[in-house]
Parts: sequence; C-alpha cells; structure tokens
Amino acid sequence: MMQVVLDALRAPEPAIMVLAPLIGAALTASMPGPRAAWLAATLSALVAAAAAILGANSLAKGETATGVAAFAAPLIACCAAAVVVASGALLKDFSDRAAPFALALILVMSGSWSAALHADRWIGVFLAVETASVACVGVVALSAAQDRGALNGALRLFGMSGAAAGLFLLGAGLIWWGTGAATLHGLSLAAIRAPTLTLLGVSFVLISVSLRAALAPMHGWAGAVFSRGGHAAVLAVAAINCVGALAVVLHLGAHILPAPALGAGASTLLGVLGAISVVVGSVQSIGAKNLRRLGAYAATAQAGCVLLGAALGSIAGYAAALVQLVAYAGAVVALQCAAAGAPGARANAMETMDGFGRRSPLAGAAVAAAALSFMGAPLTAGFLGRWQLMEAGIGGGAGWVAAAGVGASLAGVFYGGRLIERLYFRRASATARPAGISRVLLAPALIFGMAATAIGVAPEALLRAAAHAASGLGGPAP
Amino acid sequence: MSGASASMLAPFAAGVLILLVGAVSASTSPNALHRVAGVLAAICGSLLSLAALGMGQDVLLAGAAVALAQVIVGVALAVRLQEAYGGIEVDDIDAADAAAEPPERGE
Amino acid sequence: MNAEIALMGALGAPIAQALLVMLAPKPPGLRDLVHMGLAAVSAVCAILLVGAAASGLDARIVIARPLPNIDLAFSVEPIGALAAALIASVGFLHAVHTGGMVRASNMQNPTHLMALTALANAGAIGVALSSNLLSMFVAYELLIMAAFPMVMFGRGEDARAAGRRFLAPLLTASVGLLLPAIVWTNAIAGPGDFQAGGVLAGRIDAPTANILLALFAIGLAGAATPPLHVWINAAADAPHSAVSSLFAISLAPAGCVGVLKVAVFVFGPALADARAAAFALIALLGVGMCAAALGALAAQDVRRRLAYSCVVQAQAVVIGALLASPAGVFAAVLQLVALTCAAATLTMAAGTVAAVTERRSVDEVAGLGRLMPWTFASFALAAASMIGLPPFAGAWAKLWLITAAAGAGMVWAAVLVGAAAILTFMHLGPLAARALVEKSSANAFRAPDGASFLLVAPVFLGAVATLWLLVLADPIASFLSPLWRSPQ
Repeated sequence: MMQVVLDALRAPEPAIMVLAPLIGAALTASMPGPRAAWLAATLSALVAAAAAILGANSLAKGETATGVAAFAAPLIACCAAAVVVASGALLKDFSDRAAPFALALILVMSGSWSAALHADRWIGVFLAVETASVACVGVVALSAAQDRGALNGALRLFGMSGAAAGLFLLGAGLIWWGTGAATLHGLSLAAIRAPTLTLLGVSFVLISVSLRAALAPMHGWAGAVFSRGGHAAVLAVAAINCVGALAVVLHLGAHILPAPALGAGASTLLGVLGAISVVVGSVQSIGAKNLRRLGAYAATAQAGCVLLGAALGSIAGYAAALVQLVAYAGAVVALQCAAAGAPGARANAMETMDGFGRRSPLAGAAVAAAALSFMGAPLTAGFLGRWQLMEAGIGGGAGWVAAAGVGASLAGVFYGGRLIERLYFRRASATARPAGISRVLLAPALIFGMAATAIGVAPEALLRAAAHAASGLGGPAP
Repeated sequence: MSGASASMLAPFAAGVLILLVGAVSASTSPNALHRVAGVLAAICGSLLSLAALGMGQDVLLAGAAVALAQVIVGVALAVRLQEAYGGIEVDDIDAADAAAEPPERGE
Repeated sequence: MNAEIALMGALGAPIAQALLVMLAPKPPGLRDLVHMGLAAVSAVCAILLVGAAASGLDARIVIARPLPNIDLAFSVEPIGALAAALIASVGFLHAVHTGGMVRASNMQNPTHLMALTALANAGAIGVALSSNLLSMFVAYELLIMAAFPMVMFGRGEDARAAGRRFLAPLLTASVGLLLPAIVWTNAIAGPGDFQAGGVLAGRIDAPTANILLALFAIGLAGAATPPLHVWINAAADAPHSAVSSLFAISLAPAGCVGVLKVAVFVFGPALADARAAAFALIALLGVGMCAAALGALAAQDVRRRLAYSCVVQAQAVVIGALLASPAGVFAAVLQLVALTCAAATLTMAAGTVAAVTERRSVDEVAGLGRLMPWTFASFALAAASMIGLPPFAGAWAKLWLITAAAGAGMVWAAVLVGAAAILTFMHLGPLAARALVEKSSANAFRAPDGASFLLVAPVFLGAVATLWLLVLADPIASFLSPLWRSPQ
C-alpha cells in the first residue's frame, strides 16, 4: 500500500506540487469553520510536501531533469506546509468567516508559485505570478481581524504588485516581439532581431518578479506588510511569496542568461539588483528597531545575496544561489514562526525577544539558528551559501560579488548578533508574560531551524541537488 | 524598433505612457481608489502596447482577466479600508496607524 | 593510547567539561571535580600528542564535511601539538585556580564561567590542532563566541556595551577579513590540509601574497594585530578568571597560533613574496607593542595593566611569525610558550590577590608580598620572564626574536622589540618590587586563612613553568625542525 502511495506521489511530482495545493484550496474554502479548514489545508499541504520531498530526493540522486524548477518547487511546497501547519496557532489573526478563505489563499500562493516555475510559456508564467500576487494581497488583507493596519499593508502591496503586473505584460510582449519566442525554452535558441528592446523586455519581467520578492529598491511594500500584517500573513508572505518569487527570478534568469545577446545585460541587472538589495537591506536591518521590520529587511539583504550568485551567470554561481535560497527559506521560516509565538509579539517591539531564549529555550534556539544563518556563522546553511558565493565570485573573476557577500555577512553579524544578545543576555521586562509557544508554531520553527544548522554540517545532498539543478542552466531539454 | 510602422508606434507609445502613469498612480496616489484605478490603467496600458505589437488574443484575454481580478480585489480592499478607517485617504490611514503603533524604544 | 584517541580526548574533554559542569552545578565539590578532572584529561591527551608529533606519527580525525572536499578535521603537527599541550596544561592550572576563586570571592553563578572557559579552551585547542583553514576558522569562531559572555560575566546590565565593544572588532575581523582570505586561498590552492612548505608556495604573485597576508594577520584579531585589536579595552575589565583565560590561555594564544600556522603552513616560502605587507605589519606591531606597554604603564588597575602587558607579548609572537625565516618561527614559538606561562601566572596571581584582599590597584598591592610570599614570588618570576630577564623563558624568546629580526635585515624591528621590553620592565618591575619590598597592613586579608592552596599552587606552578625553557629550548628546536625541511 505504501509503495502504491509512494509511486503515486513520485510519478507526476510537479503536477502534484501544483495541483494538490490548488485542489486543497478549493476544499479548504468550502469548509464550515476555521479548524476544519485548517485540517483540510494541512492535509493538502502535506501531500504536496511529501511529493516535494520525494522529488528533492530524486534530484539529489541526479535522477530528475535539471533546472531551477526541480530544485525550488519542492522548497516552496515544504515552506507552504510549514506555513499552513503554523497557521493553526495563528487563526485568531483572521475572523472565523475569513479563516477558510485565508488558508485557501495561502495554498493558492503555493500552487501558483510552483506553477510559475513549471510554466514554459511567458503568458503561463504571468498568470501564475499574478495569481500568487493577488492571493498574497488577499491573505494580508484578511489578516486585519486583530489589527486594521494589515489593510494598509495590503494596499501598498496591491498598488506595487498591480503596477508590476503591467510591467511584466509589457516585458513579455517586448520579448515576444524581439525574439518571436513565446516560450522560455525558445529564448536561448531564438534569433534575436531587436536585442535592445528584448533586453528591455527581459529587464521589465525580472524587475516585476523581483518586486514580489521584496528586493530593493522595489521593496517599499515590505516594511508596511511585515510590520502591520497578521502573523500568519507575514509568515505566508515571507516563506511562500518571497521564496517563490526569488525562485522564479532564478528560473527566468536560467533561461535568459545563456541567450547570446541578452546574457550580459541580464547579468548586470541581476547584479545591480542584488548589490542594492544587500546594501539597502543590510543598512535598514542594522537600523531597525521593530522586530518584524528587521525580519523584512534582513530577508531583503539575504535575497540580494541569492541574486548575486545568479548574476555570475555560471553553473557555480547558480548552485551558490540555490544553496542560498534554501538557507534563506530556512532562516525566514524559523525566525517568523518562533517570533510569532513570542508573548507580546503583536507589539512588534524588539523587547519581545528579551530573555526569550531562557523563557522558551526551543523557540529561542530556532530564532538563534535563523540569526546565525543570516550571519553566515560556520556550520549553518547561511555559511555554506556565502562560502559558495564567494568561491564562485573569486573563481569567476568577480571579486565584487565576494565583497558583497562579505558585506552581507558583516551586516548579519550586527543585526543577528543583536538578536542573539537579546535572546540570551537580557532579562525580560517585569511585565512580560510567560512564554507558552504553541507546538504547531514550534514544530516548523524547530524543524527549519535545525535544518538550517544540519545542512551546514552535512550538506552533501543539498550540494548535489544544487549542482545538478544548476547544470541545467538554459533549462532542461524540452 | 526598426521596420515598425508609425501606426504601431503611436498606440505602443500611448500604451507605455498609460502604463507609466498608472504605475506611478498605483504606487503613490493619496487615495485608495485612485490606486486601484492606477493598477487598472497600468495593466490596460500594457495591453494596449501588446495589441500594438500584434500579440495574440489569448495573451490579451489573460491580461484582461488579471486586470479584472485586480480591480475586484482592489475595490474590496477599498471598501474594507472605508469600514475600518472611515476613509480611503492614504495619509489619514497612515496617521491613524502611526498613532496606534507603540513608540519604538532605543537599544 | 593511540594518537587519534589522544586527539579526540584533547578536543572532546573541554567540551565534555563544559556540558557536565552545566548539567551538574551542585554540589559545588562535584562540579569542581568535574571541571578540574576533565581539564587534566585534556592536558594529558595534549601532552601525549606532543609525543606523537615527536615520533612523526600521523593522526587525523574528521568531524564533518561541511563544504565540498573540505573536512572539519584536526590533526597532529609540531606547532599545533606544542600549542595544544601548553594551552591545555595551563588550562588545567587555571581550572584549579578558578575553583579557588569561586570559594574565595563567593562568585555568583560560577558554573557559567567555568563552562565558558572550558569552551574557550576547546576553541583554542581546536585552532592549534586544526588540520586546515576551515577547521581553524570554525574553532576560532567558537572561541570568540565562548569568550564574549565571559567579558560580561558578573558585571550586570552595563556590561553589554563592553560585550559589544569586545565582539564587534573580533567578528568584523574574522568575517570581513579572515574568511575572505580563507576562501581566496582555497580558490588558489584548492581544498586541502595545511602543508609544511606552504599550500601557496609557488602559486601566487607578490600583490596577492601581500593582500592575503594582511587579511590573515589582521583577520586573526585575537592575536592583537592592530588596528582591530581594540577588543582589548573591553576585555581588560572582565573578571579575573576571564582575563586569565582571554589573555593568557585561550584567545590571545589561539590568535598567535593561528598566525603561526598561516605563516608556516599556508605561506611557507611564499612569505618572502609578501615582504611589503610583512614590513608594514611588523612596523604596526612594533609600534603597537610600545603603545600597549605605555598603556600598561598608565593603567592603575592591576588587571588592566597585566592585560596590556600580555598584548605586548602576543604581538611579539606575531612579529616572529612574520619574519619569514625558521629563526623567526622558532622565536615565535618560544615567545608563545613564555607568554602563556608567564601571563597565566601573572593574571592568576592578580586574581588571587583580588579574591583574598579585594585590592585591585597598583598602589594597593604594594607590600602584599610579605603577606603572600608564594604568590608574589611567583608573580616576580613571571614578571621577569615577561620583561625578558635571563634566565627566564621570556629572555630566550626575546633573544631569538631580536636575532631573527636582525638576521632578516629588520634591525629597526629588533629595536622596537627591545624598546617594548624596556617599557615592560617599567610597568611590571616596580609593581613586583613594591609588592615584595614595601610594608603592608597586617589585616589585608578578607578571610583569616588567607589564600587557599587552590589559589596559590597554580600560580606557583605557572611560575616554575617560566623556568622550563632553560632546559627545553633545544628540544623544542629539534621538535620543530621537520617544519623547515623540504615539503612533503
């Protein structure tokens, strides 16, 4: 029986990772109450995650097709499962009527980003990205039950992602006009009759998706959403939306960079976006006095490092970018889940973390693991990613990439170190309530926090998977 | 755009202009409904440009569907903002949120 | 016991020490027994490693493989084995001394401090026994992270600023300079272990060699190479046991060992290509030595004075390592031995005095030598070694250092070392002399029984150790000689 189930999950893994969340979303939305909806959502997210893990295993063994999609889609599915499970403790962010819809939208986000990774036509990517974006706006808006400020965040996200939708369409149109290729695979093979316009189109598309990943300088919505959104919404935005968007940027880049007339320009654009994100995100993180904004800006800086790896345009650089994507996802999930469980977390203040490591050792360990990964501390996934980035940069003659990676680590030392200092070297205020973090929040936080550390100690499987995926620079054979 | 006819250039340029105006409005307008209109304008502007380039109907229809979905979500958001804040002016909303946020303490 | 087991014991015992001390904080007797017992185990294992290295035995253990083709591994080689034995042995004395300090000063939460010093020792021994640059980096970071809470220990909320002033330069240096240097080296030479003869030999040009050397030397800020040695200010006010650990046993010695290993096993003959950077660094260090000695002279707190004095000696080790000659390396190793023994003795003695008399300033300790003869006799011996007075360990080290500098054509460096020695005399000599010669009040002790055996014995044994280079200098030279034979 077990073998039948495994075979069923293994055969069409990409389809399951796309369809399971979407079907689950429909089921979840039809549930009568929040708890039933959460159970339905959890079930479908876990089915997708199971298929994802099998897919990841095959990738690590080199048994699947190469390409970013094969690597990133399982990651998104696992993140979505973590978010949905953790949402069980955060349902009070939504009204009872809205909770099923919110959970359904979270699943839609997951399925849509997976679909964007697997779509071959530009229009397919567009539809998937926009579906995910609209779902993201919806989740943030629905989380306004406890704090109406979430609506303000949703408005900012709506405006910027709506404008980005127009940009994406225009970009896709220019690409089609300049190359005649309606598919991603056709890009590297097409004869480009208008290189400048095509490059412009490519730039528009990449900028549009980068905006959803909260990459600077288009991350103006992130501060508002992260500081004012409900915890479940923030978790979904950080762990699914931003990770998914970053993965799609990498996926698109993998098809664009090998194209002869486009590679250099696209590489420059990715490099510039990455460098700006590292600098701006790092500076804002160091100056952040609000815990959730710190999380948002730290994520921007880390996302910049991911893009820098892709900007190198080499297989080593892409492998580094993929490893950093995993480190990014692990740290973000661990940090946001654990922080959501801190008493008084609603207030967003940094003081929430004072003494948290002693009051709730396991949750504190998850936050510490995330902070260490952001810092690039040895034996964490973050260190592995930074090392690979620096090595790829130095090996590719792009010392500035290595320098940017070092800068990101140094900034991470400051803001991550500050977080760890609060966790373990400060006392909670006299009025702080005892920490009693829910198990459904703690479990994903711990799992992802441990993964962020375990990967740093025994990274062979991840490195094999990343190398195998990156070897498909240009996309797997159609 | 060598070889492009003037008849294509004008609607393309107009579409790009509408996109730009819409994008700016969607991001910076002081009124929530104006932002919704900005999003609609941005997508419609891009659709106009695509039509000028000669893209197929399937793409245009997909774009129109996304525009519709964005407008529906945007209007719903504006209604919720009106209910929650008593207005849809972004400055007033920001001021109300700033007043509600606890003061940030130094290190 | 075979070499691999000794290697595991030397590294694992301090970690077990930290864990068990935290798990068994009461009764205090059991905790102290565990603390001292496992420190002794580590010392014994490390001393056995010296024997293994002398016999030419090859021992290597792999903990993990965190990067492609790069192991987190530890192995036996002459410099590392000697340094590990030194750190572990003095660490054992420090563990005994800490037991005495806890009782004499009624220390709050001593368990944490004991665990942190054990972890710091583990990090320092890890640096010494590291098999490659990655392993050295990981051990060094562990050391810094263990040292950081030590600086703030027992000082209340105000110590946070001191903790940040301590941590920021060390982490900035290690992440911003040392790590890129390590990645760059791996990119040039490929993944691999340290090699006698240098992994970079014949592979780099002069500009690259200069930049790499600067990155390594300044990146290992624990060795107090300017300009990122500013952590010293914050650490100098730490509790006495922490000062002993940081300046005499773990952080400063580990930094020095790191620079030595880089000079010998990473650069090797390629150090000659980095002459410009070496010149500049030696000049910085020479000036830094004099500045630190002047800082010690100005300090009225005994602990702070000794901390700066230790920095002078640590910078001398780095000068020796950068001289790009076997004589320089030999001088650096001798200086490291002298530093560790003398600095530990001095700082433990200061701790003993503070614990039993609550006297901390230079003027207050005058005359205490008559009431605490063993402690201050040991203090005087160690001070003489630090100054470089024969026949103590420091004298031979300074002699070799001056000889090596002159031999390398850097007479000015020799002059700076000499000047620093004179300044060291000025800040340590009168301190020891006044303690022994002047009169003090009879009721100096807080408790009627004065200083316990646990407080005095380690100080005395440390002082005895400052004499051992008299007989061990030649054996050390033979022990290190495989390093400057042809590369394998």
